[in-house]
Amino acid sequence: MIEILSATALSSVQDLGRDGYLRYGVGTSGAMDRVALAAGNILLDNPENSAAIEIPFFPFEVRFLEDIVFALTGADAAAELDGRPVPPWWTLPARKDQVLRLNPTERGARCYLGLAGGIDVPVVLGSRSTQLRGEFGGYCGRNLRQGDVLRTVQPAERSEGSERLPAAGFGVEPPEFALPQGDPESIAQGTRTFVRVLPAAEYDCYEEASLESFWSKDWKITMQSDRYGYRLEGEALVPKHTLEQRSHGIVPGVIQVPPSGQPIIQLRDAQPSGGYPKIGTVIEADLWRLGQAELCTQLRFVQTTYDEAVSALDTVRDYLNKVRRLAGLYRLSRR
Amino acid sequence: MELNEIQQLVAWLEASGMRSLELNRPGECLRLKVPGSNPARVADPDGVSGRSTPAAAGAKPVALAEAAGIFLAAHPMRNAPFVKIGDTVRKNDVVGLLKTGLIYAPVTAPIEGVVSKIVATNGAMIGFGSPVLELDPGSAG
Repeated sequence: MIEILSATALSSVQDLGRDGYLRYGVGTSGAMDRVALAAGNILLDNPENSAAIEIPFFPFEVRFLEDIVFALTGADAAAELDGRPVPPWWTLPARKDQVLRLNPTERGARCYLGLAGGIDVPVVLGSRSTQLRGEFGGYCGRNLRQGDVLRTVQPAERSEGSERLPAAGFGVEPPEFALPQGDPESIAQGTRTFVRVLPAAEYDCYEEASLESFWSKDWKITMQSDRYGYRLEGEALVPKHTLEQRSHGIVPGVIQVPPSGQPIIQLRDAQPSGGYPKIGTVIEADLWRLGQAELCTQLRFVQTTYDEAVSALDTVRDYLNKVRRLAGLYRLSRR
Repeated sequence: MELNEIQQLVAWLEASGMRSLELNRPGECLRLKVPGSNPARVADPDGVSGRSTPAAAGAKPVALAEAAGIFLAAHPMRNAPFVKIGDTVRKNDVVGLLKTGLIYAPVTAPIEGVVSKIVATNGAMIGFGSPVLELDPGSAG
């Protein structure tokens, strides 16, 4: 059980998302960085789809109302437990009344705070994710506020992970290093994000020069970017002729081009339909990279193929399987 | 226990400088021995075979590697190291990491004190029980 102490806006309860309801007009929601959410749950010995708190703005503070193991993944928020530093991508037991503080991020955009046993909010349409547009799911269908108290699905004392955890905790290698994408300097400094993109239905409707710059130039992630989508800024994309379309179904990752020529990437809280032409789609295996791309940093699109997009999902799966196996062994070796 | 888990344990055992490992779980007992290991190594104070190393390193309290792995002075997400010479640390503060595969194990301070020397080299493979850094308990505060 934890109590939210800080009132910083836009933190929400999320799991891997609400799949299967796009046809009814219900968006997927779910963590912007699903790899971080799943890895946090693995560190806690939770099912991978357990709910955690997604935190995009800092500082953020919670008080533990019981002894419980927690995990931090995603952005490095220079966390402190009662003033003692906690490394990023780490799991650690907390004692009753200790306060966890997350500071403004040094790297990455969203931090995930998970608890052993998983955060308990009602399952709505198969998910615990907050559906902000529909105001349901998550904690009362809204972002978290000061004073909110969150419980866990499994009582803390019965969660198996806590018995086996060394007091100083342990961590795992973040996927940005285990599954690097882009040039070494961008990876080391975290200043430019590379995501793989499949050309989409209206790709061929753009001028050659526009397609050339789409792949070769930086795109700035503007301040008008959030869980709904990222608005990008760069060299305007010019269509060969005026494109008009009826609204049609879209999924997270779709890159639309409104008449301004400045693209929008639709993300987890996007509407399930839209009418702008689609130049490409960020592949599912790279959506977590977008989730950690900070405002005002640069984005680069890398052209890929359907086969590569599918095998990239297997690579992410392999990483998570390996983390689960090694984390289990590590706990065992520390007993 | 899965075969690939045993393979991982063998790899860790070999990397650690330890000679044997015994693991007991309900209904399971696993005993691993490194072939050809020489029992005389146990008595070798300069080896990495046991926790006899702190005595060899001198009187100063030493933070020891409690696992084998690649020593990381800083988390890869950060430029700054966990500690520098002259930093005050509290007991159980994380002062470095040991990376084995995807796992980052903590190296912790055994007591409160001031970091007087960093022994382990960043990026180097170190064995179980190796000294990582030295602390000066007197000047803490």
